[in-house]
Amino acid sequence: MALDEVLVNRIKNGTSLPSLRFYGWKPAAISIGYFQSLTAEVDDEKCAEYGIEIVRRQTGGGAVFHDEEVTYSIHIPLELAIVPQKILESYEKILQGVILGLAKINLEAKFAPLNDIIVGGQKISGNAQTRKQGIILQHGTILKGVDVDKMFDVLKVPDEKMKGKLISDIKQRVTSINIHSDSKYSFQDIVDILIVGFKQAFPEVEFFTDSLTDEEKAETEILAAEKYSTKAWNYQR
Amino acid sequence: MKQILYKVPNGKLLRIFIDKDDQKIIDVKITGDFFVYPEEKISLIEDVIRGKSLDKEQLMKDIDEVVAKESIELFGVNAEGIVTALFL
Repeated sequence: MALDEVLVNRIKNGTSLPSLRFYGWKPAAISIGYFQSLTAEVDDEKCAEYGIEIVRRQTGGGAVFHDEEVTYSIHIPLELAIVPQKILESYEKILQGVILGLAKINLEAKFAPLNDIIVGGQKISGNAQTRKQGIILQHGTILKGVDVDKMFDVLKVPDEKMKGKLISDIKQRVTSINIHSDSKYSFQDIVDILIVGFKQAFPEVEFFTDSLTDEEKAETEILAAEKYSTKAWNYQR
Repeated sequence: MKQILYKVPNGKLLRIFIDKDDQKIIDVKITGDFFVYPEEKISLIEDVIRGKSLDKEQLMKDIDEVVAKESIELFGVNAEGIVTALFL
């Protein structure tokens, strides 16, 4: 989360380039939407027992249990005009990269407004976007596998008595790459097909592979310590 | 604070924390899995509700006004959804 904010700031002042990055979470973690109440959505004591970290995002949307997945973040200055100004249309444009990528492994994925991608009517990818200083930041998850029981062990549900039904509903509504594929794809396999998908979705963009600079890493560590790991940020609502 | 859960029709789940007496809303915090752009302006929506009389139409008008004036974009939530939740 801190790196996303650092990159937005650096792209704005011209010290970093617009980027598409892929990452995973170790240990597993929960991110909550900007507007969510942490204590209302997440069992923070249970998370501490399991060693699951919790972080508030800069973006809206719901709580996400990050475990078996590939996560991406994309940072695009609006002035480049490669993504529509309108929010809904810009989600659709960016998510073409994911949809075209999933097509490479024969998954027929579709955009489900506002912010999801579905396969066979079930959600395989959740996404969230914000715009800061004229830069679009969108991040999202592509589920590789999903353990709904584990997820609901740490997320609070509105009605405990309905928990069983809720879990079975979610199991019907959420899917993953592993459920739909006979082959078992690794994290890197999925990253590779997503890169191909994004290149296809943005043919006018020249992509090249790069690593984080020492400055980007250093600024991220500071921001993570001063903001994203603090109670003031994570428990603000 | 009392907690109200309300699923906005065709929208997201609102979880509103509210303190109110017979006449007015003393304090409010709007949480949930919706989207507001720019995000920080959610506090302006809370500000127009806080301290106001329990008048549905006026509250709806006040929220719509601040949303228009401040160029706030809402996804998965709207003034009607927020006001409906406030009275549950």
